[in-house]
Amino acid sequence: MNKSKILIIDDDTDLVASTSLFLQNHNYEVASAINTRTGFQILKSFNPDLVILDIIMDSSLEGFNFLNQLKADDSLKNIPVVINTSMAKAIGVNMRGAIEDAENFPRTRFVEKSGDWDELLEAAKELLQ
Amino acid sequence: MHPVNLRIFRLAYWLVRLRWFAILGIIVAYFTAIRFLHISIWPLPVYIICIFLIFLNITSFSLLNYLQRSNIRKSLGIVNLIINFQISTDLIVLTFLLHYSGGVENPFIVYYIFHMIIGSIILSTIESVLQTSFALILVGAMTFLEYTGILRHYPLEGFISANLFNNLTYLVCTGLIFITTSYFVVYITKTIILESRKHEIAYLEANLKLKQKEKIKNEYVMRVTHDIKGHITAIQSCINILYNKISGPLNEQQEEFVNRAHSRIEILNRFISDLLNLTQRKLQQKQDKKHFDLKHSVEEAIKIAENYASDKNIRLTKTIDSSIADIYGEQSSIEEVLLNLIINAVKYSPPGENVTITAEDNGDEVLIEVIDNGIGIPEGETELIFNDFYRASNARNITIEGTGLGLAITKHIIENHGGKIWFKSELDKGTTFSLLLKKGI
Repeated sequence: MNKSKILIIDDDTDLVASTSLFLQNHNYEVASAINTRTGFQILKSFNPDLVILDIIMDSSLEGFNFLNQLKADDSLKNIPVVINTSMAKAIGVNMRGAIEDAENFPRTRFVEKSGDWDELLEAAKELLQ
Repeated sequence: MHPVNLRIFRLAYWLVRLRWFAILGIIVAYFTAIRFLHISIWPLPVYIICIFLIFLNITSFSLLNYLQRSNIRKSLGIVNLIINFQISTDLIVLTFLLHYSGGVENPFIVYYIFHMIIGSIILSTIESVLQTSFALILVGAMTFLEYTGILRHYPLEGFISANLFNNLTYLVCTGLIFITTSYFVVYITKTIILESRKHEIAYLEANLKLKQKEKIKNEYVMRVTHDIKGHITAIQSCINILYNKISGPLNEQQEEFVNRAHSRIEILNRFISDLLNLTQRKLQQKQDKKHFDLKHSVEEAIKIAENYASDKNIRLTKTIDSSIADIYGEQSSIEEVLLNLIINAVKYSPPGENVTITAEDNGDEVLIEVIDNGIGIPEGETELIFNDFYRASNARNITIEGTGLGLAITKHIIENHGGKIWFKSELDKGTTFSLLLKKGI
């Protein structure tokens, strides 16, 4: 069976390095990008089965713009996305509910950034089923 | 609404309350005069005036309630108008009452002074001078009209035998004394009030500034903490690669140090999360309140804490009134409080002990208690236990884990819900934390 492919888009290179290694260890093929511009290029060539996406990168809503673009594109909108961010509580709104209940974001899950990957792995497994 | 503006509402309500006492006073005074002192007074005008006053007071009260709710800018001006109108009507009413019960001969004539004092406290200088002058014109007119016979004089038979209302020397002398006393009273009251108002405004403004500074501080703490949290997450994830041996096996010494780093970063992470949580709560203005099932929340918190408790061989027992159901509040916050208290009880209990959770239906309120037989809180520290970053000395000796923010967060949440939290504790015997939560809004 082919390995599932995951693309991580996050500007925290240390976190990306450890997360990549962890996911590879769990038998996934991983690619990464430090911003959404390169993320889009890699997306086309790498053809991921899942995208793990940070929100705050070069601009504070970069990840959201990417998500909007992705979900508006008919050929890409079926790629599941895990939003992985630390801004969950910082802006005082219920991000999880806002993202997971939004109709224009199908197959999108929200996971708060943390030092272990329990929740991230669970979400990825569920979306890749 | 600015606290300085709230003052006028407070005083307007005070005036309404005073008036209820005045109405009661009038009834008692006239009843005593007629029934016990056997003074002849025509009672009909008194009854009519009392009914009129009651009607007026209810109207003022409802109008004030409406204005306070509507929160419109103009409302302050309208409140001022209501107060002026109320004082003027009271002066007219007092004049009527006096006219029907002896006029200038009635000793209650000194009650005009009360209105002058009240006016000076609430109104501006010009307004209080005008009200005082209005009172003097009313007394003057009544005295003059009774003296000249244009109005009938109703003597207080059985109380004052001499006819003073037509004694010119008496009227002139009393009049002069009354006028000077009135303006003097206004002057003195106004001076005292202005002085204390100055202090009050300075105090309110200082308080407001302090709150703004506190907000700036909290925003700063939140930004810094948030940035730190990003770094910690990255460090923690890198250590987890080694800790989980994803990059391959470690030798014994490497493993020891990775374990040390791992446990310290966990503690630091919890501390940062708690600090972020508390700061966000302090900055948060709107709460996501709704009706939710409190009984379910208590049971859920116990279920989550059970894993932790069983590691220490601690049994959680519960007594929950079946009638407890819906409560209005922020569900996730209340669940955080419950879990926090239960985990604390387990954490500071020796292995093998019991922790009891009770939830009692008290009608409008729910009383929740978490009872442990743990280390207790030292007597001298009971005042400090809810403070930010405070950890009891005996708790610090047991474990380095614990941020000292858990109870601060708990207290903040409970107070934001209009509830109460307190505890009873005996050193080395145990602690009972009690929560009182309102069911409704």
